[in-house]
Amino acid sequence: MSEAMVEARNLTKLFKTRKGGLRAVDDLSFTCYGGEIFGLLGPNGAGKTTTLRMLATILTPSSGTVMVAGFDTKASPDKVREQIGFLATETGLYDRFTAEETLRFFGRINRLTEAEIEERTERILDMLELTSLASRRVGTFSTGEKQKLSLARSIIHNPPVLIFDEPTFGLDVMAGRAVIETIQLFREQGHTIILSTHIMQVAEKLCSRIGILYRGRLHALGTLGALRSRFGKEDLEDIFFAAVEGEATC
Amino acid sequence: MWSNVRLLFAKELIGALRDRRTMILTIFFPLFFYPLILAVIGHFATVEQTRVEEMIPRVIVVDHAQNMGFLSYLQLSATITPLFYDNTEEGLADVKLGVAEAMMALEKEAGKPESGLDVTLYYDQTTQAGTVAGARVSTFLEDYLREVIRSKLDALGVDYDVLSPPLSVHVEDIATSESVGKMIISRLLPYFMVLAILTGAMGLGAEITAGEKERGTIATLLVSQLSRTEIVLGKFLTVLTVSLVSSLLSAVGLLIGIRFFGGGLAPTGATATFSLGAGAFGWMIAVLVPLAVILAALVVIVGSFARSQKEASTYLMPIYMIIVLVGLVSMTGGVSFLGARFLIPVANALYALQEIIVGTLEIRHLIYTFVANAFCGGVLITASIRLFKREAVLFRS
Repeated sequence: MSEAMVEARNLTKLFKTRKGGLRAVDDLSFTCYGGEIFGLLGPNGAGKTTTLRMLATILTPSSGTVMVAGFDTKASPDKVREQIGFLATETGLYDRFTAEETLRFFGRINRLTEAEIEERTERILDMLELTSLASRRVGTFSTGEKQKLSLARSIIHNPPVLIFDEPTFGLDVMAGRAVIETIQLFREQGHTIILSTHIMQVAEKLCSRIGILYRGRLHALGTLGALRSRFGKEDLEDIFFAAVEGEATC
Repeated sequence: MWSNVRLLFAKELIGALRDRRTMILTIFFPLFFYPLILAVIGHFATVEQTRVEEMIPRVIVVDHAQNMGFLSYLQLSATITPLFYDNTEEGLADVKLGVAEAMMALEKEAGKPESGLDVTLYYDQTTQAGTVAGARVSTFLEDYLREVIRSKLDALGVDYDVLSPPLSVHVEDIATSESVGKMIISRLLPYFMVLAILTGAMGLGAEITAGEKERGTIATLLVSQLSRTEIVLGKFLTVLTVSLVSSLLSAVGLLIGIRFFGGGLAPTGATATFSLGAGAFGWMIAVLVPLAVILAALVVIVGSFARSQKEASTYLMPIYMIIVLVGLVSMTGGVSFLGARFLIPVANALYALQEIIVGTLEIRHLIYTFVANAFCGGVLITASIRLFKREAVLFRS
């Protein structure tokens, strides 16, 4: 087995609310190994985004630890950020910048040299078939083109770990397929990918292993094959409901 | 750290320059709209002044006294046009309808000789025409009174000029056209410059803080090699720069407008020459920078707290209203601002700017203003950085 790239141990996140507190993530533990696509599957509000934000150092865990490529997110957030590319639910792009300017900016704030930026921008735009859009402002892009550029942005500094929050969210079939192919391409290039999704087909198509998350807790974890044999179901949706049985309200 | 701040600053500035709204608000509006509006105001002020000077007000006269002397004097008047009515109520109704600008009701004065008159003057002092008519009728009545006294004294063989009060008053305005010009600039320029700092900061500030949260781009910055302090400082410096540019261009636009079209803004009878030295402009910038720091930091704080641009704009509105109110008070010159009052942030800048323009600057006031605003700005920048580091604020839902 490859080395562990992301290790979450007893990860918990509490948010203060007007009604008291909300345990968005509850004692979550998992390991993601190098070169795999690890999927966190769960409905809206399951705690996927909060978990990914903690992995990406955007949020600090209330308790528990996360190690990314050997660095602790609490002790060395800067080092962790050097190791990750992050894609939030939104595209996270600036409409008034061109594709090339976008990659240049994110290359610079990730401390690449101008020569590295030049070389990687050209290569990534070519790889994702975005070269013809290089000089066009992002505001004129289709949703699918924007998402591809977002993915390009996340790998501009060539991080070993990629964290994608609902990468196909809001995309049509064509754009969704292009994004899935791009993520597969990233895996072939050796990136370790953790993604969240509430779409069963995306998890089925992409993920080497799947963690079923519901109400902040991890209910099941394994390869699709292992989950099928454990729950005696073929369909991932049936597996999901079997895993959260007793807690699910619908 | 500063190279990262510079990176973000450059990116935000390019974004601002490519934003049509920011360009219109920051460059087009002050440089073209201010001269245009001053040209329009100046034109209408001049036209109105000429109209008032040339106006011969129509005055309804309800005569129940039948004083022939008075009526003859009235007929000869070149400063008012009398319209004779029988009834006071009817006359008042017509004054309200605008048929005439004023009305005088004449009654015989009870218990006085035959020539005694009891005059009641009616006019609407909320209208300029009414006020002018009232003043003209008062002057006419004073002239009439003088003539009556003169003719009575003549009948008694006494020279009026010998008996007239031993006092003659000559009023001379010692204001030069330059000082009138400076007075006008001092009332307008500080207000518009300070307001421009805020309007320049508000739109852009809300977009690059709350807007960044709304669009979801903030997460991409947070996972980069930029620290949160660097992110806040980059955004703050962008807002500061744009707000200062907005303020300076407002000053340029306003000065162009005043220089070419500001003549009509001078008080009646006065002339104004408009000039502002480079030295004064330098001092003004020294006052404006700490003030812009305060306002830019405030905008960044509000923008960081708000969940959306719309929410940020709503929260910024009370700040805008306070600045407008303080600015209006300073513009009217109704409050004297002296000594330790220059330690009051924001308001101090408005009054310091006025002193600089008029040329009565006290160095003590300048120091108080600079220290108070710089301290306040420093506190607000620190607060904005602390706020930006709080998850509960940054990811408020």
